[in-house]
Amino acid sequence: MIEVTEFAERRRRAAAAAKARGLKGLLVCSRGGGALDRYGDVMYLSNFYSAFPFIPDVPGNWTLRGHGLLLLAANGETRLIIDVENDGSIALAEHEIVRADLMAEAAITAMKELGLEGGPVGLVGGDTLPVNTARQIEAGLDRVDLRDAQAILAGLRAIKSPAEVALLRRASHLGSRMIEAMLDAAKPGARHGDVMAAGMGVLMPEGGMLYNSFMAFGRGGEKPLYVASSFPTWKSQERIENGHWFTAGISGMLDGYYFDMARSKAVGAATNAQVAAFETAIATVEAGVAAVRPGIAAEDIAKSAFAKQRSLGFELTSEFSGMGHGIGLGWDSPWLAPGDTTILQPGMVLCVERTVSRDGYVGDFEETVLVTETGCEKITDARMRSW
Amino acid sequence: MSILATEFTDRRRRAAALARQQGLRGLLVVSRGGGTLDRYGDVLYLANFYTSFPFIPDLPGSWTGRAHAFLVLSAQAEPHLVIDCPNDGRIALSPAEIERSDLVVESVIAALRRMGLDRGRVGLVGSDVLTVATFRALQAALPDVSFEEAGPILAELRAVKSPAEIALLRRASALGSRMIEAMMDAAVPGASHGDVVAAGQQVLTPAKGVLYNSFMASGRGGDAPQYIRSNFPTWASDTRLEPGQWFRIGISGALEGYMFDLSRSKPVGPPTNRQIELFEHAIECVETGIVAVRPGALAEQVAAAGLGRQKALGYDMTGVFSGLGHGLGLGWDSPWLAPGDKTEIRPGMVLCFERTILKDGYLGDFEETVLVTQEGAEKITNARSRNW
Repeated sequence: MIEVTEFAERRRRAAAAAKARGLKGLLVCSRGGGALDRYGDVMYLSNFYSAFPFIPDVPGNWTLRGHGLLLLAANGETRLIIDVENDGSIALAEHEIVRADLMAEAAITAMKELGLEGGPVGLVGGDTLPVNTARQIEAGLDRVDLRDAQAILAGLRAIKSPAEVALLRRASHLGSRMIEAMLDAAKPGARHGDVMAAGMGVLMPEGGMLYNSFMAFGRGGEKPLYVASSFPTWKSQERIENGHWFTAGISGMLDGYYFDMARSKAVGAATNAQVAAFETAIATVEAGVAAVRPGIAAEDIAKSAFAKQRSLGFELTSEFSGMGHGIGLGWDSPWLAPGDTTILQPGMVLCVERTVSRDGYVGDFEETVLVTETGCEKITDARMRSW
Repeated sequence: MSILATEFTDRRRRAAALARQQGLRGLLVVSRGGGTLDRYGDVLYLANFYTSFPFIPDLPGSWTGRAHAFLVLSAQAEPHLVIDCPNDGRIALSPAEIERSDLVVESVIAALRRMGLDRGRVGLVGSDVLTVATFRALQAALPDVSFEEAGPILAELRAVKSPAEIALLRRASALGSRMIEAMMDAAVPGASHGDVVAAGQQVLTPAKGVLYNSFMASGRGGDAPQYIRSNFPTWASDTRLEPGQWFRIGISGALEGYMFDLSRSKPVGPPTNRQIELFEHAIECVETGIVAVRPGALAEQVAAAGLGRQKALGYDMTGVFSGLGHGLGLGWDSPWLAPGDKTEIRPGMVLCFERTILKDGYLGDFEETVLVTQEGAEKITNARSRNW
């Protein structure tokens, strides 16, 4: 677990960064409500997640439910506005926590108390703050200028502490067991829903939670078949058959920290064309992993891997034009994509991923690595080849 | 069972007409996807699209607006949907009306210009999912547009369900009922909250359902009270159930996009009189609210009936949710059964009634979903009410 002192140190560093930019402080917004995206910033600073689902504002009854708002003055003074009972896990003193049904109104009051008006205030998590709430907060304060300050938290969160690395190892380990169970369940006669249920049977009793599960199966060649669905991704009722390829890419969390990995397999005896796709995905990812070391730019990882993929005769088409990303309390900086020139540093934890396809054959592979002083170390440990 | 393309066309026609009545030149409708279950409803309602791609922060030049879908509606032009992942063939629009883009925000700006929505009043639906940064980018690119809150247009349309939607909501509530029964059966001495939710998933997932929320708690009332729960995930507690405890769960999820939402309580091992009293009182508050449902009643009056019973039974009105319930469809819908909501109840609304009550460390929890009929209400959840 992460010590209360580590949370205090994170807030101290965030406040110092705000001060250095001439900001009066930070308004940090995160989502909760049963969703697994974008809870990270408030959790990073205070260990809070709202379990209450988002419901639209009904003025006078409630506002901004399903969110957490942390207000951090440049002098370090903090208020956390929450919409559910403190379950005892919040890393703040009682007087720093305000529980309110009218969260937006409580935030305005707290911002006045902390002097977060009459000048520039950094906004973190502006992608989770509803536009109307942002307008309401601006209108409720005296001349507040909300400026994007996402980079402050992105920078802090990108480098993991030893306690975070330990939690990420545990999460990747659980994810590895989950994907192995799913690969085992992907047998002739099974549907995507059966495979997903097998994975859930591993994940949930351990206190883990699913974020995304992308699955597909099919056939390449003359009579190609591609079975996948988008909502939910395990919706298809078609059954896996001998001769199919199968891919699974899963993400989820344990104790707030993410895992993210992908594998492929042949159902029944593997064919050469199936194995070529699987091995190309692995080789592309491994080329990226081999390039990871402190001092290299994030985009260079992508370039190394993409070159490998092309050299193996697979075109660069994919739903995701990057080669991976940081991972922590969510998808983190940096992005292993052309244009991201962030220099890799020890303590970053990165996912390196690739889906390749050719002639109806698909290969999918993803691993998670910790950047060390000399290179990197894999923290996912699921079997790589199920054929 | 699915919704016909003509029904989607009719929904868009009605949305555009309501926008015109309000003097708006058109509507920009935004929804989320990305593996989460909140706030996908408006675009799904109008176009049958959900993006499965997860949210990733904008990386200008590489991608923007991922995990969001934008539908532009104008009375003068065909609808235009901007998406960030391939059309899976289910979108209720013609291919010419669909644009796939990695630079979603830029594509939306271009579409607004092309459709003549680059000036004047444009209604914004889903402003709660539109990021502040995206909103600022839209406003900067289109300085002559006044974006005005138009969420109530979709809220009003979505509040009254079509026969096809009612059939889907019945199926979702039946699946949710089977799921909660499996969870009640799994809540035995020695089980953890994680074991209980895993049992529920074994019913839900193979049937194509998705979990949204699962609220669980267990504990003991009286002199040495105990209250076991966890915020994130809600099944994270390691403590195992023991005889003599009460146990409650409230679950929500979706089947084919349509939600279910229900809750139940039970004793672990033999019940005590005090446990049963709380369970029965939660049922009574909910049933009192349901009895008050009739077309023409106001949402707040229905709420007052159930909340009034709770007060009359001598319970504090504390809790994490100050209402008695809400509409249900492709998400939490209007109306809100809460003080101040003066929406008139109409046939075709589907409503959830819920109450969690607490006293002396004892807890009772109950929730049902009903369809508003011409005469009153018909329950569409059908899980066992009493697990003791």
